[in-house]
Amino acid sequence: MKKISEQLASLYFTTIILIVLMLWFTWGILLAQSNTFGHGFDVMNSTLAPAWFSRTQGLSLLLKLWFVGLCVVMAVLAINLVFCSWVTILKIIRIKLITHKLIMLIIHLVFGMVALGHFGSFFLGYRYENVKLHQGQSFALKDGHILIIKDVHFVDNPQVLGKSPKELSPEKYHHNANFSEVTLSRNGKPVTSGRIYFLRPLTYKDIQVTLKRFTPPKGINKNNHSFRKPGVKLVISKNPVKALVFALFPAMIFGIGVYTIMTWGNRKGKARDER
Amino acid sequence: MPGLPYSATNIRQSALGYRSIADMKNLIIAGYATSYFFYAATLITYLLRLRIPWRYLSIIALTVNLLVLLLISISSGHLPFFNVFECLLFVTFILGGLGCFCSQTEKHRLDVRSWVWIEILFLLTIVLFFPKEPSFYRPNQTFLWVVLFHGFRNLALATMLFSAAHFIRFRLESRRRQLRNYIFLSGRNFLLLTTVFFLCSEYSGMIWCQRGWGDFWHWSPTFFQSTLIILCLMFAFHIPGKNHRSDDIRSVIGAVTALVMLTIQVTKGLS
Repeated sequence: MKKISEQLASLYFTTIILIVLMLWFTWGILLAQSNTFGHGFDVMNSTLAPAWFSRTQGLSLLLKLWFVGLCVVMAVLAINLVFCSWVTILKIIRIKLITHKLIMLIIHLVFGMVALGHFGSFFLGYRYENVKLHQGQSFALKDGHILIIKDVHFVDNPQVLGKSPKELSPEKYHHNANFSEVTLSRNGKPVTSGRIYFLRPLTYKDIQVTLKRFTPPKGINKNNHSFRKPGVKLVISKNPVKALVFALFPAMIFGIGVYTIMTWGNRKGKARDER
Repeated sequence: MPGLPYSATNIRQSALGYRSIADMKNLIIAGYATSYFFYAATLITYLLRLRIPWRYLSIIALTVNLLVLLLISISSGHLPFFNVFECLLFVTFILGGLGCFCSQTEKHRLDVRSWVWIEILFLLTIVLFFPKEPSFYRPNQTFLWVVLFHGFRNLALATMLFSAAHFIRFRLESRRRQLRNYIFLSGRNFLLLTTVFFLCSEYSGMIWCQRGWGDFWHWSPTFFQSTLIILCLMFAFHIPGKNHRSDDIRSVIGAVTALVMLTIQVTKGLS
């Protein structure tokens, strides 16, 4: 038993898992760039994990295999992390408290929680991708909230919406002046409202309403676009673990920064990057 | 449109005056060629151990490099982080600065500084195959988290290449034991610094993604590439063993990680 736990906590084991993960992500890059499986990743981006395995909107078998394989390798890495951390904790308690080793232990634990947060975000909350709405229209969310588009304020010529981003100059498209006014209500009562701009979403608790882009007015091809306003394409998402990940990630960076400073001048080989 | 003080046009008009954009583009190309020449001259004089000339030449090369970066920023209205030309020129500037002020001249001809100048010339040669002009205007180029994402990523690439220069020097030395305390550990320190910068870039990217797409993770090749770099960095720090063979492997992985980062940066530019 002791031998197994030693092996599970070893750096050799970590190295093997990291190699497998690198190969797995290289395979992922190849899959995502292929025409056959590229669409599958779009589905993964637009829905949460339970939908990927549903019969109606499910992914191809290879993508399911890739994702499950990734989860399995990450689970093995988590086991390695737990065992390795436990060994370090015992060393700190029994032998000596070495500050930079303690910091490294904290960094590893925070890394584990960040990875767990990423995993949780694939399953928890909800996500509505590419919701196309026009002024006055509403959209019901599954937790009972209703999103209403109060106004679409677009100051530029709507013709620019048909052009690629490379063709848009700052004179043609004023991203800071174009916005939409939205209201989030529940049981008929507004709970929050505000403007959503490009890269400036509206957030209420864990719910986020993101403006992805403006859509051309329906009448744009019939030369009557002055009477019709552009619509909006939104992403409405709720991620309960978002705050946790956003709080822990900088803590991990800070920890590595502190570790770097503490071991910078150590040239006697004491500061090995071991856990 | 009133109320847009940082519009690229306004900046261009006020900064350039009568100069046309074409003139500015020629000036940028001339600046790039000049810095290329001075970096090459720095390497030659450094290898010949002409102490005073290489110092002056390296300072001139860095100054010209900085001027080109300033020209790009003034003419485009954004920081020089976005396309391959801007990014690699920024990286050469940081790398050159690190080579000048954070390393030492050794008796060995091909020391860390020599490798830094070789790396800079390699980067400037890559730039030859790309358009030598500022990147296209994108609305998000003035968004703080987008700027930080690209800025930290370029900074990480520069420190990674500096770290790689240490590892190459260490690996090519036959009597490596004597170099461990200085060269190898300096390489390891800058590898850790690279990790910090790269994670700062990732964190900025997460905020950018959250604000632009409503989620901090995306199943896409760019996210997988970033994860691959993080895994390479983790791999370099998790090589087991305390013997010299382990240090050899660590140094090889450290140098290869720099190549992976550079390849990803360049292929992004190609796409």
